[in-house]
Amino acid sequence: MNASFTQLFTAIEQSSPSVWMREETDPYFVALIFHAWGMALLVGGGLVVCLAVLGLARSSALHRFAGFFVVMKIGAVFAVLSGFGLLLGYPAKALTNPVFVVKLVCLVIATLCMRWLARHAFAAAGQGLPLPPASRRVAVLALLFWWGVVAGGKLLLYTNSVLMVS
Amino acid sequence: MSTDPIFNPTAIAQWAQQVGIGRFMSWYWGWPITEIVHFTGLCLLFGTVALYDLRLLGVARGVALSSMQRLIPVGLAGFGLSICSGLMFVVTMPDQYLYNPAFQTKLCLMALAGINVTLFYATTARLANATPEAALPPLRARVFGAVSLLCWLGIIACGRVITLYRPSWHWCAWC
Repeated sequence: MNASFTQLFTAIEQSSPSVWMREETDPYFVALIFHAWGMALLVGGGLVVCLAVLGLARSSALHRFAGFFVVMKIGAVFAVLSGFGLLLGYPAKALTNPVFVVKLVCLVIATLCMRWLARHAFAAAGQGLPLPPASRRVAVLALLFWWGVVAGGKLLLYTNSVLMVS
Repeated sequence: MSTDPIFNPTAIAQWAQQVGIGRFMSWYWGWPITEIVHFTGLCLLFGTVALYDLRLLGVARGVALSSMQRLIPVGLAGFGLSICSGLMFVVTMPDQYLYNPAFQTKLCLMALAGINVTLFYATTARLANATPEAALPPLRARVFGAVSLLCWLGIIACGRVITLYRPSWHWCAWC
């Protein structure tokens, strides 16, 4: 690992918020629980919206499902804030792990897919127009990348190789 | 440690070894793969159940509850994945789960969620599903939705706590 990164991680890990996050029992537990809730709302909501695009809830107008985006956004806020808390506790462990980057890339691509669906598929459905031809492909892509976020998150614990503090 | 009159953790772990589950879980990638399956199942289940519960509570009012019913097979598939993968954890290390208060609380909440959904379908589902798309479902349906949502949030929280909270003593209410 690069010496400057080592210094940066050491400085973060020796800071009082990082020590508090890591060494007190409650903050880490609370962050883990909120991260799980946030991810379940975000990914679970994403999966359902994608399945609706793929035609699994046909009796309701597709654009009405946009009402669930607010649930996904709340989940995203939980997941990001708690994720920062967890990262603060063990920055070297996460930021030196390539799987963490894979998880973030999956998250960004899944989010972009959802934005595309909101702007194109949901907008077309709202105007009573047929869905753009790429909608189903984008929904399948989003499903795959949401699953990538889950898999990446779970693999983090088993693939880290740098642990400066325990 | 008092003797457990119901479960025999040693026999369960031996059975898991005999049928190959123990060997799979001892493999380096066995536990992480099972965790991925477990959380994938949970996301499918929670995505369908929580969004249905939230719709009962008035979120996304334009979505017909009857159309959300069509997502139930997805939720059931998620539940199946979670149960199968969860059982793999339990039978591999039974004493780490059976006597963990977080696991016991998780099972109690799952039972409560099960009773809640059974009562909902027995008494209120038809009425709730007949609610017009833009309307708020009846109060009774909203109460069922709130109980279900709280149960599932609790189940997820307990699931997280199990992995970190492993008491050194065996917490056995039935022993």
